[in-house]
Amino acid sequence: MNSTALFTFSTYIYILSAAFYTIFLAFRNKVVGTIATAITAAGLGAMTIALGWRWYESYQLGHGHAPLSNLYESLVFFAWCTVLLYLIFEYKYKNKTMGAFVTPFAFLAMAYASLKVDPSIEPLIPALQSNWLHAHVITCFIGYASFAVSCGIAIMYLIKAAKEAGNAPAGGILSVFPSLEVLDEMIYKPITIGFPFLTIGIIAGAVWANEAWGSYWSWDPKETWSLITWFVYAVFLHARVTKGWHGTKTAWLSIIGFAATVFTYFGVNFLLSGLHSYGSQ
Amino acid sequence: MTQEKPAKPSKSVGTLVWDFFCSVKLAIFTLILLAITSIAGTVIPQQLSREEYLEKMSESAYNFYSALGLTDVYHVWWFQLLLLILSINLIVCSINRFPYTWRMIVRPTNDLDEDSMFNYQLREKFHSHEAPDVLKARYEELVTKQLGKPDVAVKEDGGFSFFVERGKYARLGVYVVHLSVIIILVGALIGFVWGVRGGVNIPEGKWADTIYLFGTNGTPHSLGFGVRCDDFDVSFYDTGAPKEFKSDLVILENGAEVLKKTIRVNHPLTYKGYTFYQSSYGPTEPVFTLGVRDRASGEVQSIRVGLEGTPVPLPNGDSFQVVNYTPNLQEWGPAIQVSLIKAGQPPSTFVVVQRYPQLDETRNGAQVFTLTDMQQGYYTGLQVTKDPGVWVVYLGCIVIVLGFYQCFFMSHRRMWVTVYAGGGKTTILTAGSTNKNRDIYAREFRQLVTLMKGGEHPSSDKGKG
Repeated sequence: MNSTALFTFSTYIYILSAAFYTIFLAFRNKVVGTIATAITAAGLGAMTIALGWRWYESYQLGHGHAPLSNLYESLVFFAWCTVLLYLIFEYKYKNKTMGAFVTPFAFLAMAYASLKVDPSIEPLIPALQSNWLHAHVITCFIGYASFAVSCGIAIMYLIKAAKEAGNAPAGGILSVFPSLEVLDEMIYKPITIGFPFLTIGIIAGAVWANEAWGSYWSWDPKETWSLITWFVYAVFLHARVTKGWHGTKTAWLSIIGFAATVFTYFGVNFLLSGLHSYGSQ
Repeated sequence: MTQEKPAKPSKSVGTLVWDFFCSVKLAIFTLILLAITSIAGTVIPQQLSREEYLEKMSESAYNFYSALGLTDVYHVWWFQLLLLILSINLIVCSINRFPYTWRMIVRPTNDLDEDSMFNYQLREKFHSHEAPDVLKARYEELVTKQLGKPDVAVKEDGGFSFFVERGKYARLGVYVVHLSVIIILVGALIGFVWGVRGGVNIPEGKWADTIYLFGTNGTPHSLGFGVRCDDFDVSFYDTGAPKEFKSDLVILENGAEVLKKTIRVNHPLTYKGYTFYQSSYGPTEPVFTLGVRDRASGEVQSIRVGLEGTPVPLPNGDSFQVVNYTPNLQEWGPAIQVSLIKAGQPPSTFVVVQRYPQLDETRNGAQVFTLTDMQQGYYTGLQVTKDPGVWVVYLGCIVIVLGFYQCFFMSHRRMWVTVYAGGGKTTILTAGSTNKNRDIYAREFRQLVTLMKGGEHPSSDKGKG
């Protein structure tokens, strides 16, 4: 057994947690909810061990670098951040209904990593041999994970708002969702974490690019798309805080923002060419 | 937070322009336009030559894109105009809103009373049997723990009042962020106007004092000093992926060595504002290692030298150059042709073969040359930039992070308390407000008020929470 097997194992754990969170939604059974949280926490624990293990394995191979350097490692790290952030949110808001909407993002990232991406540990090419690598990847992915959590809650909001349009509060599954007012706040909160972290991530990338390539900004597609994502969330914050936009409009902005995030992360690697091609291998 | 719009009966042009630039709608619209046009720049290939475009698209499509500036989106005038509008918008919005924010930062002068407490979201009025001076010490202690030391004003009748706040500068966060964006854009502008970006290839053992500017068909740019590459090395992992590129560089001022540094990717060399980056490499003529033995003293000197270049001086005042080489001289293996220069005489040339070190003995010169090694030579490809705006941009980056901390992780929490005696009891008025995380502060406020009452359960007579 190696760390990759443990990562694959946690993929199965996350499909279980998504399933249990969905069952929890359907039956509103407290025990099921507790099991869902326990499974998710176990998945996070397994991944944390696997991350440390992979780091150790890289030293055994003689490369010795943090597991933050290629597409496989970034997917795993994205799933790890998302689940960690989700669990913090679940604890803070004492509501498990978000689980059914957020854990699937972690599952999808892990399933894609396990099935489609080469998991081998590669040595770092010269451009990646920099301490800025860690600062850049960690801060960007805390941002991405925050946006994933916000997007999951935005989807909840839109479902609930559609059912409640003009009528009394929705019954059935939707009655266990937090109120629209609380959901609206919960869409906003992760963005107030994600936006500063995305900003620090872009800055770390810029300083790094300046040391490696002699230019802090080259309008490379990856850079440009991260800026586009930044613009979307800047619009979100100005619209909500200054113009008083709430509810459906800001929920859509959060979804558009996450779509831009996903495109920055994957789309650029597969569809556009540029300097930032490490992530596609 | 809503914008305050003073009534203006007749609007002058200046006012209209001001109003246009102080709208947040304009900011949102400009950000969306910047996002969309930036997308265009990632989909349409940028800054290629006409021929390269015509391989990818029809002539009419190229003419269309080119006329709109879509082949160089990020440098076209209308993109720069959008950035300018955004900057003016940021500045005008900030100036416009600042007085409102400033009012929230300066210490309120009026004490809380029965009327003014209704201006605040959090408020509570309650009574106590204890005298004001007893309450004063207790309240001071309680409030100091949560919000900081209050400045208590004691009244003639024994009553007192205070105002206490924490994190008032959180309100400035948004201005700090806007300022930082302006600083970054100014830094970018400085780089755009005064920056230099170019490259130069230097073979091992050679030097250069001129670089060739990018995007200008190679306009030469004089550095005002020289840079020599003594050695270039590339190493690979077992997988074949590159592990390290490095160049030993020497900075020369009027021929004298002033600075030596080995540069690698991510570890450039900076001298007089110019930064030298390891960016590429390629093969050149070999580098030769020669053994030169002085026949009289028997002393052997090992010399590394490239093809031609500056003649290498010898102890007796002569000098030499390697003028030709071959990897295989008539099945004898690697060999070089050396040109020996004696003052006042035409240079004499002779052959040195690596495999036959005794061969040069027969020439009967003052020195005996042997070829100990012939290695593949490389040139190092350096990117050279000078960007005086970079530190301004970095300053802006530091400021933006501080601003975000103020904006998102700090809140301005305020509390007013007035205590007066009358009618056989003591009346306590409290009010609180915050600019964000209302729920959290509401909980803290209630807890504090509960403690002030000296009990565990909040009584009635609450304000709306």
